[in-house]
Amino acid sequence: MLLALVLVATALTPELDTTFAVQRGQRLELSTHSGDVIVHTWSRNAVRVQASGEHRSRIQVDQTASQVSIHSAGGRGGPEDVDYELTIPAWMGIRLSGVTSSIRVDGIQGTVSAETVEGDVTVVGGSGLVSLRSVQGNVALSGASGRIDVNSVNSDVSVHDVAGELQAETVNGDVKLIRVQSDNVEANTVNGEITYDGTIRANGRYRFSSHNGGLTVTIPEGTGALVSVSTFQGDFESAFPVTLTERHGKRFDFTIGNGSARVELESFSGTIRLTRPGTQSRRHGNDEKDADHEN
Amino acid sequence: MMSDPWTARLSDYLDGELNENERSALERHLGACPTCTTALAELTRVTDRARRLPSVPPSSDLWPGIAARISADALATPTVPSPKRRGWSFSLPELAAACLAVAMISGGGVWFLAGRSPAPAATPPPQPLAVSPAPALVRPVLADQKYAAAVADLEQVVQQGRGTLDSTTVRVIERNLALIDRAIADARRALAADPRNAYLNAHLARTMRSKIDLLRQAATIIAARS
Repeated sequence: MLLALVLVATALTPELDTTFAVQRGQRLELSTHSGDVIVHTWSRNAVRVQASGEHRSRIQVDQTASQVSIHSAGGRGGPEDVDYELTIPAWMGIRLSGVTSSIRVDGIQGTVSAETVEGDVTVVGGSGLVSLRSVQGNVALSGASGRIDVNSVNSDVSVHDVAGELQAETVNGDVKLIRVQSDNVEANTVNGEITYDGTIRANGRYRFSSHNGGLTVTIPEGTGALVSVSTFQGDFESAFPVTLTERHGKRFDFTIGNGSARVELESFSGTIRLTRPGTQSRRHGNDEKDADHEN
Repeated sequence: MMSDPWTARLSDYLDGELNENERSALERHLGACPTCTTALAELTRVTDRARRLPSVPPSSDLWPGIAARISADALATPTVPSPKRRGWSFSLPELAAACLAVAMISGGGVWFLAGRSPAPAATPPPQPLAVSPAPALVRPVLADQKYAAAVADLEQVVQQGRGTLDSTTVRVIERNLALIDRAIADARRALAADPRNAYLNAHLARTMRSKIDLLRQAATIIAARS
């Protein structure tokens, strides 16, 4: 087994284009400061690294038995600015990190960890552990399965067509979860709206919470769930009749069908809405978001 | 104080320490008591979160003091004395404090990850947050003290490292911290008017945890760039 670190390529020029073989099970790790990262997949057991950066940016590609590492450093000790375009086997697990970087991954089937401070993170695919984070950018995921954790601070989180345990969070942004197949979903925002349109499975747990924003949750026909609604200054609307049991304050419970799933809906000051599939969710004027989004 | 005797048994229920009769009775009670059902859900989340925490001992100078405060007051104070009590047992009145304690334990990892010990003598300590009147369902003084201490510690780390962040990032973090602070203030005002509202108690704890999480995230970014 190859244990030693092998220098695959190094470049002290603005351009690098190299392709090398990898073995199933190896992971890819890339860290950069500035510059965008784009990852495509192909059916070959090989990795192609195309990079273009500032003059004298240093790009280094290393390989061990378990990992391919790609790092870059700026000239004269300053931060580097390198754009990467990688083509990797679809099975490969990846870990990508940047600072002032947008990250886009398309067609991946392995585990994904992608995080940046300033820039969007957009991933299509992923399985197993899928973790996406950005401080200032939007985070978007589709076509993933497994244990999913998506997180932004100052922007929106959008998840489409995924399956598995899902946790989505932002501070100042919306959370939109569409066509989700899961028995365990949690979504939180402080200042934004949450939209959920997905399965509500028997014995599943679904929890959505916003401080200053509304919730719109689609309840599929035939759902069996105990639904808890809690608000302080907000309202509750339902597209279908429900019998509410009032608890302390503006807190209500009701049961749909056999009540086996648990759905908790909480908004301090927004409107909580239940809809049926196919209903177009609407924004309401009294659920204004902070206009200070800074992208 | 809560008068529902089952609230004190929720931890035992989660730990599988009730006998069959007790368990059946509690499950019947849960079917009719939304407060206990909500409390059990929160308790489950707290314990799940606790179990996911890394067990690596932090190595900084700052962490032992924080850990000592947490373990002395929040985590090792069972409501019902029991020689069999394990570390992650909570009763409902401890729940909000426990949520914060768990968040603070997570926060302690920042210093471990950062591998640094802030120099408290060089920087004036941040002002602690205002403490609201006591709601009935939580131990607000305990929670607020711990929260203020954890926030102050993390703010110190962020303050010391803010020079490593670009100005836009600093502005975004400060803006979002202010947003969370407003949400916390909203929840505190609401709780002052309705101290027995379980939702407001849980919402306040969760929002406070959001601030800890954001500060931790900022500190982690600083550590990565230092």
